[in-house]
Amino acid sequence: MSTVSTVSATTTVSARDALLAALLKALAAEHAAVYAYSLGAARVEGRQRSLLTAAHAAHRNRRDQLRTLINGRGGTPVEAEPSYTLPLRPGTSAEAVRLATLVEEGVTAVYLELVAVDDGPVRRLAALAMQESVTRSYGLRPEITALPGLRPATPSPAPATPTTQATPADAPASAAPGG
Amino acid sequence: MRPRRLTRRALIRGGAMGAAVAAMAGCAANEPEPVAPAPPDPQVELLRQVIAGKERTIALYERAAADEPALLPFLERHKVHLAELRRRLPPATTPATAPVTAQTASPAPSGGASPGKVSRTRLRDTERKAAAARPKQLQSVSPPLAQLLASIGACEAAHVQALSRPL
Repeated sequence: MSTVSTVSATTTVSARDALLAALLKALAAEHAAVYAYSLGAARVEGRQRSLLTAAHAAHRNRRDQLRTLINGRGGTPVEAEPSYTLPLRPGTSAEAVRLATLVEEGVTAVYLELVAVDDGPVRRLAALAMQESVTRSYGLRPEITALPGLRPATPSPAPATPTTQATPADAPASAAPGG
Repeated sequence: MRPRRLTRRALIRGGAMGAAVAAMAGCAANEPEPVAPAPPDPQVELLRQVIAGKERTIALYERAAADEPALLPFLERHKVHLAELRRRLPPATTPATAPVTAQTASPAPSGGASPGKVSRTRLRDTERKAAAARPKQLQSVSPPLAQLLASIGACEAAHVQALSRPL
């Protein structure tokens, strides 16, 4: 028979597990974003290159912050995979920008999940990361949805999946980084 | 100082007083206790504040869009926010008919509803302040409301950037 203390302990462990799971998912999304931007930034020039390079750096920073949060909460951060299945493999500057906007949509959706956890500092980080992602996306493609993450402007892409080799450029757009 | 001794008469008088007090207490216990108003739900209070702010923003945009129709999409997005926020209010606190317009707007604390042209700078500043407030507001609310506030804040952050460019 469960006592009050054991029920409370179970609840605490469950909440902690849920928190760590959400943090790990966000970290995996940031790993995928860093990977996608490293490919995309090589395909663009001028202002777009500046935007994508800055976005790459921003995602690296968020990745490192998530690692710190996970370590601080007793978890073990996941490492980056060698490569990720992307919705498209950028061969042109237009494809690189398209990939970047898909990355930001995916990352926004993942951070929206993270906002729901019961941890103030994590919620704050997730909310700020959402604002950054949506703003970056606007810089690449000037479109705004009323409720980013809650009501996607385009059909929701599937989560990114790590792979051991790169996906061909003409692969179906079945997955997006960030999920 | 000599301790004062309780006399038999004093004890009887005290006992009578005690009985009277007990009787009074008994009377009070039989009366219906005044119903203390329930403390306001902090989440509902926050919702009300956010809704009031959103109504002020809509009022600003309605005036601005009259001169600059390119701002209408911004106005529409704020109306979506307001509708979603109102939907989260408990039924008892939801206005019976609450159209998503500035007619229900609360008065602005510092001349927010003052007549005159509304500048892009003013709109951008309003959006920036609102977006900056969201991460703090969502700290202690329910997960669904936290997600709504985060999403609204992300939209407002994009508005800040959009208002810095030609529309």
